[in-house]
Order: sequence, then structure tokens, then C-alpha cells
Amino acid sequence: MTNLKVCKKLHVFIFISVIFIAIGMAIGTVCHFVANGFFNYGGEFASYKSITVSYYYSEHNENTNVEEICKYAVAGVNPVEVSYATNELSEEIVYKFSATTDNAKLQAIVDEINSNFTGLESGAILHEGVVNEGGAKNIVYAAIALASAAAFQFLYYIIRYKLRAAFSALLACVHNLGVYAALLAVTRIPVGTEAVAIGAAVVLITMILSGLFFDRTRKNFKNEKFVKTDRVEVVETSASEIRIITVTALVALAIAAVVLGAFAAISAMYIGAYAPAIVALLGVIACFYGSVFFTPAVHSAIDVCCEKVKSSSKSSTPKKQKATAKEENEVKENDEVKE
Amino acid sequence: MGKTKSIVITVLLALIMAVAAFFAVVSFDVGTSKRYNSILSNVSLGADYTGYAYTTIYPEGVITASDYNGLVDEYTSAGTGSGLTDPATKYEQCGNLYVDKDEHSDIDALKASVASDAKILNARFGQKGYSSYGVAVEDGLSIKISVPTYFTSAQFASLDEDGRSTRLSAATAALSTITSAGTLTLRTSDTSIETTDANGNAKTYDMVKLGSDEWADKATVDGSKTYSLSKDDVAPYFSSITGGSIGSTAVLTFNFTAEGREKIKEITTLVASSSSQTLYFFVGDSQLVGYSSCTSPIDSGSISLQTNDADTARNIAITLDSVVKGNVLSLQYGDVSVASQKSNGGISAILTLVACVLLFAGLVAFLTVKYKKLGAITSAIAFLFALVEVYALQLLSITVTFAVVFTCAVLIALFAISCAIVFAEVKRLTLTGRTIQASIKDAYKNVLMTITDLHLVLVVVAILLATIGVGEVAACGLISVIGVVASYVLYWFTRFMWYVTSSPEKDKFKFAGLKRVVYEDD
Repeated sequence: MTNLKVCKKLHVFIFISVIFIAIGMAIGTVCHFVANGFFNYGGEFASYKSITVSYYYSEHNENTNVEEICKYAVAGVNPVEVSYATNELSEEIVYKFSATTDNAKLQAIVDEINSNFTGLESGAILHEGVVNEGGAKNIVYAAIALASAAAFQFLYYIIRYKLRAAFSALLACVHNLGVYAALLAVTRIPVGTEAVAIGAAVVLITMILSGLFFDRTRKNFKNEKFVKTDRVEVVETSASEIRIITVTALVALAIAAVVLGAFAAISAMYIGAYAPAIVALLGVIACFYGSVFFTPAVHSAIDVCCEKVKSSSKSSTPKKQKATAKEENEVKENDEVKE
Repeated sequence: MGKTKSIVITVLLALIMAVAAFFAVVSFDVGTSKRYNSILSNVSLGADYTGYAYTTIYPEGVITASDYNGLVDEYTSAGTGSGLTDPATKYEQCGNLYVDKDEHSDIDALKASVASDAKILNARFGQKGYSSYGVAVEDGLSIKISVPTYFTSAQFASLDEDGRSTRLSAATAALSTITSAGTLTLRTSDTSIETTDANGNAKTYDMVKLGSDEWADKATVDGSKTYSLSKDDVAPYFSSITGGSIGSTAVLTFNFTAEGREKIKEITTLVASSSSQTLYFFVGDSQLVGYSSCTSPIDSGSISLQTNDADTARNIAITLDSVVKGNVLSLQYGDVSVASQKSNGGISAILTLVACVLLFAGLVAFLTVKYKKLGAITSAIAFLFALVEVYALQLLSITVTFAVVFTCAVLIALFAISCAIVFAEVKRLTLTGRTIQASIKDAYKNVLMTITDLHLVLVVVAILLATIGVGEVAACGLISVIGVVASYVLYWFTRFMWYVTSSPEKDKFKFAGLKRVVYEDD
């Protein structure tokens, strides 16, 4: 794994990232017009259809298993969420379905439930259109918080590292969030507020891993061992040195997401229950691709470009040119003295 | 450090951790009537674990199918000569609901009003900072509002009934206050107020005639009618209304506009002369707050009123602020029925805990296999880290959602990465021929800035997420602040534990799976 060369495949990674994000944007845009939105909105963002089954137990129906009747009727049309409610007088089961579910199918379910409940003081109602207003405000504030975080990291890196590292780190955050959003758009996983919070976690992971990478790169550039080594090679070496830690951490997080998702699925076999785990897994995948492949490759290119600009600006400035010539002469003289 | 000292410190730490873990995890009965609920069972859980409290509100003149059937039964049993109107002629069916045709002749206009009100309610509930909530328009004519109950697992399992009813009351209070419909009026319960004018002449105000009082019969306080203190719309008197807590005091603050300051002075002059000396703030026919000690006119840019708790202050402030900014619900809605507690068919908190325990066991196994004795010690410190997170979740009232659980996993990964970096450096230095102690000392020195930079950036980022973000993002930010600080402190604790555990070792060149490479020159 440490021998993997990523810096020389910059064009491949840029191509993959651009294409993937573009596909995500395209699918999202198409779905925005023909389906239920750019993302497959779930939770409090989603408009949905629902069947509400209200009932209460009395001496006439205490042996009736309402849940079983409903489960049997609903089988075949996958609800996205099922919830059970109790209040002072009665109980409720609410089945949520995606907004695109066929009304006729849902009405058939309602009829079947109602036919089984005749005389049992129970009833099912179909809500054909539930328009959820959603918590858009949360997204706006999250976006501001993440932008502020990225801006802070940029400024910190300018001071602690160099502008080129700061720019690469910023790009890493933007790229990983872009890939994460594209993955959400492409996979059509239901997206609720947890997706926004996991987006924040994606930024945290990216910052941890890019922090390690840029620190190692800086150390290696200062290391005498690498004085005569090509800059791209130094970046490559730095990336490979931290790759084991990066991959181990990300694999561990991926396992965490899978295990949490599996246990969520055990507790409720509806996509609404385990979708957050899939969203987290997609976040880890975005971080994996970004941190292992994209960031080192792009940073090496940015570093080379900056070096070129630096050297060309040196050579284009007469005073600097003179100074450089003088330095070269001094070095030559020193070499001669040594000889 | 001698072997005895090392063992004493290790045992002492193990004991502290065991005690902390015991109180964090184990719940038990204290005597016959009381119960100690563990820290973990007292952590607030988000809607994805314990569900929502919800209510459905219907505009006046809109009834449910069951209400309609009740009217039909009543009409049928009373007979046609009873004088009751036939529900079939009075109401028009619209989906699952029935609309009174006299009150709402244009159903499309009614639907548009409901949709507009839902947007206003969504904005109001958005300010509550819930981890998640829902404002949904059902069939175009009713609004279903869901807010998280934030039960702890003890409350969810009905092991803490008092706490459970407190949480439900809080959710119900939010639902009933924030859904208040109508404009803001300032009211008094006095029918007449005697006061003196600027020239010292006695003057009596008939409050029944003074204000615009279409709600005089509805807007009551303890059964007494109340009367508006102004004929004008009072909303422009206020620039903003905020609520929260200052220290342990819950405060509601009204900030006045320049015009409002003058008007409020006039109104409070009147209230100060009344027998009740109480100024009531009503939205529609709901009394939201009363200023019960208005003994003198208010002549300042703002006033602050004390409320029962910060949550109440926030609910009232959100509603009043929305109303004074022109976001008035266009329809009157029926009473908010008692919010139903909704147990969730979603993720089980217990199973998530089992998953976390399994994952942690995996981490321990990995660390122990890779770093032997040192791995076991690091695992113990990682356990301490997990305990810190659990205590922080409870003490800071952070709501646990799936995203928060995942963020905790990221934070443990941060701690593990920090340890892995320094272990790798120790290993590298050990291979150069130094003693373990010297390697440890130099390794921590070498990676000092790496670890500090990493944690410094992350703690500021976490603070930004916690302060700017709302809901789940803020919760993730807050636990991240604790997690990053704990990671940094415990990272240095590993340095101490290296020292404690490696000092008694006789072979100074061999420890925890690391050993000096013996060169031929040696």
C-alpha cells in the first residue's frame, strides 16, 4: 500500500472527481425536476404519503393483533418509516411512503385494513399528499459554520504551513464535500438532517487527515534526506508514510458505520432506520478517495506550480537575478575552496 | 519510578475508571422507592431513537372524518325537526377532512392560507434548535407538527416517570405556545382604570370601549375577560423580542422602537394606575406572558421579564418575535390537543449501544494485538475517553442522534491516530538504538507540533460548528469540542502511562513489542 504512486496520476484523479461530481450534479438536477428533488429528501425534508391507522383496544377486540393486520396489508409496498403512537384515548400506527408511491396501491391497503377492522372501533386513513416544510434553516446555519471552519483552517495553514498547503487543504474540504454530495445524489439515499451533521463530520475527518499529510510533507521538505529529491517525490513519500494510518482510520470508521447500520436494520427493517448509517458510510468513502488519492496528487501539482511561479518570478526580477548570480558565484567559490 | 509506585498508580487509575464506569453504566434501586439511573440512561436521545411528540392542528371550520360522523349520528338521532343543520349540506368533503362551507367558501384559498401558515410555523420551530422536527401540511388542510421528546432511555423505558412527564410537558408547551395564532395585543383585566392626567385631573378610562375588543370574550385570564389597551396594532412598538437565560434566571426581553417606547410609556402609565397592575401580552386569544408588577410607567428602550424557565422564555420569545415581525398566522386554529407521545419504530438505543460496545471491543483487540502491553494501556485510556464522552453528553445535555454517535467514533479515531503517530515515532527512534525511555521522550517532542496543530485546528472548527450550527450540527460541534480537548489531554496521559508502565522494566531496550535493533558494531 505504501508503494502506491498517486502524484503522477493527477490527471486520472481530477478526471474521476470531475466526472463523478458532474454525474452527481446531473442526476440531482434531473431528479430535481422529474422526481422528489436534487437529493432524495427524507426525514423532515421529505414530502410523503402516509397511512394512519388509529385504534383502541376494548373488550371486543383485545385479541385482535392490529400490528399483524397492518403488516400483512402493507407487505409488498415498502414504507420508508413506521412509527407507533399512543395518546390518552387511542393508539396509532403511521406508515410513511415516498411521495411517488401509487395512490391506488395505498388505497387498497387502507381498504384491506379497514375491512379487517370492521366493528373494532378502528380505522385507517390515507393522506395522499403530506408536504413537509423541513428544517432548511438548519442547512443554512450548517453551511455557514462549515464555511467558517474551512476559512479558519485556510488562515491557520497560511500561518503554520504555506499558502499552497492552505489552498490544497481548502480544496480537500471542498472536494470531499462535493464527492459526498454527489454520492448522496447518485445513490438516492434518503437525506435528512443527519446528512448535514455527517457532512460536518466529513469536514472534520478531512481536516484530521489533511493536517497529518501537510505536516508530514513539511517535515520531509525540511529533512536533509530529501534535499535533492524531486518535490513531487517528497509529496509522494509523505503521502505513502501516512497512508497506513489514514487507511486504517477510515476503514475503522467504515466498519463503525456498517456495524451501526446493521444494528439499526436489526431494530427496524425500514430504510428510514438504517439510511443514516449508509450516509455515514458514503461520507467515509468520500474521505477515503479524497484523502488517499486526490489531495496528495493535487497538492503535488499545486506545489510544483508554485515552485515554478516562484522560480520564474525570481528569474524575471533583475535585482533577484543579480542576487541569484551572486549566490551561485559564492557557492562555486566555496566549492573551489573545499576542493 | 519503582515497580511498587508503578503498580499503585496503575491500580489507582483502574479503580477510578471502574467507579466512573460503574456509575456511567449501572442503574440500581436505592431503597424501596428510589432508583439511581445511570449516566448513560440519563442521556437525552434524539428523535431517531425515541420519537416525536406531535399534534395536528385544523383551521376553524375544518373537522376530521370522525368529528363529521359524530355530527351525522347526532343529526340522525335528533331527527329532521330538531333544528340541527344537516352536516351533509353544511360541510364539503375534502380528502379525509370536512370543510364548513359557510366559513370557507373558497377551499383553494383556504389551502393557500394553510400552506402559508405552515411556512411561518416552520420558521418559528426552526428557531427552537431541535435536532429534528417536522411541520407538514396534510391533505392541504391540516398541519401536523412533530417535535422531539428528547426522552432519556430511562424515561423511554418508563423507569423515570417524573422525567418523562416533564419532557412531554416541555414538548406540549412548545407546541401550544408556538402555534399561537393571531396578532399581538397588550391587555388588562380591569374594566375601568382611574388615573390622573398631566394637569392632575382625575380621569376614568372605560377599558371595554377603549381598545379594539373583538376577543374580549375569548381572551381571558383565570376566567376573567381582558381588554385591549390600545386600538392600534402594537406590533410596530417592538423591534425584537428575545428569550433565554442569564445565569440561572430565565429572562424574556422586549426591545422597543422609538415610537414604541413612547406608546409603551403611555400604556404602562395606564396599567400602573389599574388595580391589577398587570400587563398581559396576548397573541390572538392566548395569553403568553403577564407583567404582574407594573407599578410605574416604563420609560426605557427595553424591558426584561422573568419567566419560569429558559425553555418557556424561548417559546414565548419565538412566537412574539415572529408576530411583531409580521409573521401572523392567517387562520385561527382549533385547540392544540394534548401532544401524543410517539414511540419510534426506528433505531433501538440499546442495539446502538451494543454496536458501540462491539466496535470498542474491536478497537481494543486491534490495539492489543498491534502494540501488546502498550495497546492494552492505550485501550484503557480510550475507555477513559469514551467515559468522558458519555459524562459530557449527560452533563452538557447533548442530544444523542446517529450523527452524534458517528462523530464520537470520529473523535475516538482522532485519539487513536494521535497515539498511532507517536507510537510510530517511538518505534522509529527505538530502531535507531536508543533506550525506550529516550525514544519516548524524543518521540513526544518530535510530534508535539503535529499533534498540537491538529487539535488546535479541530477545537476551533468544533467551536464554530457548536456556536454557528443549530440542531444536530451544533450537538456534533459541542461533543467535538469536548472530544478534541479530551483527545489532547489523554494523549499526554499516554505519555504519563508510558512512563509509569515502562519504568519498572528491567530491559531498557525492550518494551511493548518494541526493541532496539542490535547492530553488528554493538
